[in-house]
Amino acid sequence: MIKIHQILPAIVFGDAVSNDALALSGILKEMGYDAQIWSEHIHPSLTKTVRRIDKWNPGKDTVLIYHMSTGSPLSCKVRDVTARAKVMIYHNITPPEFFRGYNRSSYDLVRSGREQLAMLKDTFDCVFADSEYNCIELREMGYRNVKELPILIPYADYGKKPSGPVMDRLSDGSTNILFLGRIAPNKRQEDVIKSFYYYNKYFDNNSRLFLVGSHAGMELYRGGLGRLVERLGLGEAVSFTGKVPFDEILAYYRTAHVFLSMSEHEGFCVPLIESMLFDVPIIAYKAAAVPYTLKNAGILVNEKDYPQIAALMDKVVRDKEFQAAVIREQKNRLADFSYDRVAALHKEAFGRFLSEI
Amino acid sequence: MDKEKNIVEINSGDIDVEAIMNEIRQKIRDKGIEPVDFPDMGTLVLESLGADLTSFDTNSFEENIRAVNSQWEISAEMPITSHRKVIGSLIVFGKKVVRKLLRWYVAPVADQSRQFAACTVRALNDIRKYMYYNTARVDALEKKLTILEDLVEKLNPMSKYNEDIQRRIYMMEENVRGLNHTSRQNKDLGVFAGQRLSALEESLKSLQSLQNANRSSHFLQQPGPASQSTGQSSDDHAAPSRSVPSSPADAANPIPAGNPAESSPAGLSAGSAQVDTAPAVHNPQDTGIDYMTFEQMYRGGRDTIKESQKRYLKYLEGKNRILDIGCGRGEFVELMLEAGKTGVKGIDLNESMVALCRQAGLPVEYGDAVSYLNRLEADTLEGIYLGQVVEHMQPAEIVQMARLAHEKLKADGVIIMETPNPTCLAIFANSFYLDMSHNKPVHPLTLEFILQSQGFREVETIYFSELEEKLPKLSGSGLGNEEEVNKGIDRLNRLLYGAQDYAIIGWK
Repeated sequence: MIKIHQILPAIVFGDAVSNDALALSGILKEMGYDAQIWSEHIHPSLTKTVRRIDKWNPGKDTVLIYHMSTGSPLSCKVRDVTARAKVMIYHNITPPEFFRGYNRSSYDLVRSGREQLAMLKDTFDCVFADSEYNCIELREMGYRNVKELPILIPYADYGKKPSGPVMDRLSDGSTNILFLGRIAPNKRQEDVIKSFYYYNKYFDNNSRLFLVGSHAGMELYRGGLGRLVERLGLGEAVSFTGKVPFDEILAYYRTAHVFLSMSEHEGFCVPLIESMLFDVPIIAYKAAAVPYTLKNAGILVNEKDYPQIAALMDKVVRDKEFQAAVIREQKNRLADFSYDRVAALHKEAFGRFLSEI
Repeated sequence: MDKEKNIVEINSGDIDVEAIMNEIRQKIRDKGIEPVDFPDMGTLVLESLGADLTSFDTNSFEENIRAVNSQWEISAEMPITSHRKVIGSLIVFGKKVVRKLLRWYVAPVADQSRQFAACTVRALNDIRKYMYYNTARVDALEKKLTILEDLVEKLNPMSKYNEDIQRRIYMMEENVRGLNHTSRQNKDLGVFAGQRLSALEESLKSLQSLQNANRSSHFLQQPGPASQSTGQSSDDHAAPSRSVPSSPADAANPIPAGNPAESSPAGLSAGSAQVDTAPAVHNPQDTGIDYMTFEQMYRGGRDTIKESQKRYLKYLEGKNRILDIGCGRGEFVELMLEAGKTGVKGIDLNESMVALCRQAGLPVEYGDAVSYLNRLEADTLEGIYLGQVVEHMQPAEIVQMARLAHEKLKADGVIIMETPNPTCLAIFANSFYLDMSHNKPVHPLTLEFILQSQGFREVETIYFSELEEKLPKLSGSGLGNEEEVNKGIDRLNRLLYGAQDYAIIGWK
């Protein structure tokens, strides 16, 4: 039986890369392979599923899948180890410039990640990237044999019961604007706040903005955002929830009226798919992988004109016909990323690759 | 109007993006949304840090640092003693046994704690050192910043000086461009002059043969060729080349073609034979200077002049038949054509200028103001422009020209006269006497009076080309009459560095 080892620097619940690795592991097992995950930093709840990389000693016959999303000493290990075949799954690496002035170690990490990405150019027999945007980036760097393989999103998980208290708190008749994602400078939460400022002031003063996501490591940025909220006098209208449990995430999606993203760098942007799943109309700034993930769905804005974005939010909230048309396109796009379809694509891609080695 | 850019992109056939954008723009207008100048993230981050740091207590921090440095060493080996006399040794022994039995369990925890504490203390000490180092650095940087700010303050006047130099360089470049242009045109004019010379030689030859043929009968009634050959200025010859109104039609002129080819400075004096009916615009070339090159060097580039003349467009709105008297290089004529005024015409007394304009396809002809206006029927013109012309004219000519202008303009027609402003004394130092063909400056009130007395119903004066250079005012001098002195400086500034030009606009 072919042994397949997935390697990733850190694994936690709720993170898109980790979810993808766990889902892929299930698929590979279904296909009859001996699939294992090895990682450096393992969340306590996953210690039974994932093994510690310091004990990793792959045989020559092992097929190795490396998830690339940041810098890590594992990159050198992956390059140097002898394996039957090496595959990379590229989730993109945030350009270091975004972290400058906020977190030196994050900056160094992604900068080394970018350097390692260049270094690994000829290491892999096959490279999968989870968006067309990521494929383009790799090809421009000189990678060959790059194929698009969307990220695995277990749709079924989203059918779970949402948090009751959060559902109650949010379903009080106010308009809920949502952005979900790590508090990080590349996600430009300040621009979400600026757009919301106009929306709240001129269109709907009974509205709230929820910025859901962990700010670990980005305390300086989070501090600046908090100060912006204060300076704009938005006070209670803007909530930074921090990291929240999955059932609360479900509640935020279920009660949201608009998903507003001003992010300037995304490798795929899973929250867009999640918004589609919950029929939340999306307004998103056109940058990096966002237009590729949305394709014909959602509303793209190509310029950060905050008053116009606010007016657009109002339009999509009030004009039910327009809202329905947007959601209709989102539903169509959602079908492209359905777990079954993407799982089948994975089976086909890995099946072919593994049969050829 | 340009179509506004849509910020929204929706790739769905069901949605009309244009309609949505129009609705959004309308909403923004209706609500009167004003853009806010948001603070940048760097400032916000610093502000957020500052808010926390105000509560930072250095004394308690130092106390805690001392405490952790003295208490970090955690040990499981605490001394076992007893104060009881008899059973004390037994108790000590018992406790030691228990300690030995538990050592395997307690020691690793204590070791781990000690290691953790050691790392923490080291990190804290490093942070403390780094904090003081950074504080010192910030202090030093703030000092440097103050010095730099002072320096910037001092450099500000330098940058003004620099701007002045840049402006001068720009003007010089404009002049060089103008000179290049002139040199190209001079080349073309050379070819043109060559052709004219050949034609004249041909005429001369034919006249000579005619003279030879008639020598026996002493038929020498045509002095033209003789004076032509000597280059002297006679009435027959010089008059058509200059300004005498009737000269183009002078039957005695033996030179073929109506336009004279030379530019000898005969000027108004030659035409004074008929001054009673038509005193003409004074010919600037009377000075003997190559006026075209002179203008290129000192009047400013073509585009600059045109740009400044745009100020007159509003007065000529809806008017088409416009006469530019003393059109020079034809900038105003060109500007009028660009503004769609097909009825524009320029006249000038400098043949080189006229030739230059014609080469450029501009509707310009040789002629002086008075004779040209005389030829026109009354109430035919809609606009008359005299840019930097009246200062070349004699007072009587100005009055006569204004009278004729009033006669030939239609009702509501407009006359515009631009000239140096003698109420700004700087013009005498800078520009007025630079041009030797200037007669004398005309005071705005004089010109206003002339237009009014010739029947113009409404007259307006506008002033421009104000000098940027000014005398500085006193501030904090401690002088008791500082305010009074500053008022005086204001007056001096107006007198010395005010508007260098003015234009008078009269409506019929």
